[in-house]
Amino acid sequence: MTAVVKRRVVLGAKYVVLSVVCLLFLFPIFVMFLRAFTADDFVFASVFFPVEWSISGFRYAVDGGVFRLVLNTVAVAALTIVGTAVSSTLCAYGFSKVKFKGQSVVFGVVIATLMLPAVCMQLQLYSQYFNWGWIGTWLPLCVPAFFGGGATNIFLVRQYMKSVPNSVCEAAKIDGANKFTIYLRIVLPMCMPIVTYVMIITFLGCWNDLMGPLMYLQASGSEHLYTLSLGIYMKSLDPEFWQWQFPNVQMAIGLLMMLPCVVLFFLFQKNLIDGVTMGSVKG
Amino acid sequence: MALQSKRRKLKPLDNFTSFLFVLPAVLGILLFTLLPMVSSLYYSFTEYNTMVSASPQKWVGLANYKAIFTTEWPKVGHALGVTALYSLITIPLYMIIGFALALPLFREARGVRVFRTLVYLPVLIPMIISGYLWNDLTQSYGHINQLLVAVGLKPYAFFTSNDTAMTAFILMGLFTVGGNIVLWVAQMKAIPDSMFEAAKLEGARYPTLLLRIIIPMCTPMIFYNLVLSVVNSLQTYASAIVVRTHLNADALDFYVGQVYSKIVEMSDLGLGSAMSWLLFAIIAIIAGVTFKFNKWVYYEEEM
Repeated sequence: MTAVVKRRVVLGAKYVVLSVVCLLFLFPIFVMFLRAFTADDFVFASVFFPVEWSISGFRYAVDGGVFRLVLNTVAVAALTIVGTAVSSTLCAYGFSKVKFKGQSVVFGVVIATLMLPAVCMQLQLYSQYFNWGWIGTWLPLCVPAFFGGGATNIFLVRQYMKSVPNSVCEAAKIDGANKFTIYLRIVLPMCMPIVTYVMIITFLGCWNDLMGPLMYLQASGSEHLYTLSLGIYMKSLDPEFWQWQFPNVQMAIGLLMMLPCVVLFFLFQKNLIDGVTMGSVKG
Repeated sequence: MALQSKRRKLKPLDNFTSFLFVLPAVLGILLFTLLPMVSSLYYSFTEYNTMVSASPQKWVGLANYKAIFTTEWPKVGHALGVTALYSLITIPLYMIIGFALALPLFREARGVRVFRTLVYLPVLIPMIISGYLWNDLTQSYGHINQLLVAVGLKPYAFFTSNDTAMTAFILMGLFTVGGNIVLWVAQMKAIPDSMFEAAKLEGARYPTLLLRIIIPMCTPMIFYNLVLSVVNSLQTYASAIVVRTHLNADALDFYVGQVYSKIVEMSDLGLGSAMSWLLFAIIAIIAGVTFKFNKWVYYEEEM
């Protein structure tokens, strides 16, 4: 009897602690909502709930051109997603379903690039993009995606492709299909779960990317190309958009920017978590 | 026999068409990894300011590297110190907190899934927005100070002072530990139930389970996490750009920020490249040492 009581107490304590932790983690998001709907006159008032509720934060965000930034970001993301999906699946197929001389060496080199520190590489790429005249354009953000789509993605898709039975490919080959047809018509359709994961993770990466645009896009004359992260940052420093320094405008934009991420997260929660763990635990 | 010889003749072409599939990755590594590494290494030995001319002005040998440790050292050394301090505190801190929070979340039980999701949600706040959010949360009129005052504590300066900004920045980073928890949970879920059952039959209590089963079985993740956090925390910059102001510029003076301003703002590609290579070397050495001492990691199967 006492053992049962003790177990219940422990379980109850566990739920209480977890609830407190979750409340703590949700607190910033809760405050985001409060701030986004606070009226302009009260954004610097020391009160917990807004004295006056208002959607003027969203209005300033729209008037200041937030949709242009959204459109730019969607365009960059779309190009990057296409590039990543096409080239990472092609490469993964090349590393899993066909054979060529030196395959393991090439694969080793691709995997070795995983170890390279990303920000260091971005800093070193700057001079190259500068010399190519790519600074202030979308090229540095999109073009590399078409060249392999990143070692992580190649690795993940390859792991998945290996589970496609070779007998299926053999059968198609006997029927006269060439390697590209087998890739396009047989292997790719069977790999859609992992391709979906790669596309979503690429979208989230582009949508939230700050360092890339900050390094390569922030040039005078390219304001019309700014993505969300960079646009918000630059406008909040620009006296012309003084409202964008207000917490209510910033948090209104924040909610708009977070919305697609949260929707995608809830729709593809399983894909996302499986994908993340596949890259680490099994890798 | 005839078939076999035919196949042999086709082989070079077959080899080539197979290679074509991985050509994008090969070109990508050449163009966007190898080429920039080689050229930035070359620029690091030159005087190269893009405001002066489009190509390097002159070869200066090791002068840039020498400058880092002499004329530039007061600034560079300070930034390295800030980066090292941040890394030394946050690597163990985030790992331990992530691990501790994963412990009650890895066994399937009622509600656990919901808790996992909720703890992960702050990770979805975009980096730039998280900067503005924390800037607002920690102001003197902000919600955190309101709560501190409400429970009878004194308001805290957070990002408005050099003395407290690092603490505030570490606290802000703590809210993205959810990404880490997902990995810990996955690793812990992979521990076979039979191990726990056997231990329980032997009368083992929770501390024993933790020390003898969970932690040893998690060593691959500890190692993976360690390498990843070393590489990431030494490259911290983007998450600090919004919260870094004139009030805390010293405390949040990260090394990558200095390299960024040398390269992008001052167009000094010579010195900037040298500084980026110094960071590269530091990361390579620390990661290498970590790899060398990984005897404590338990691998279920040899790769």
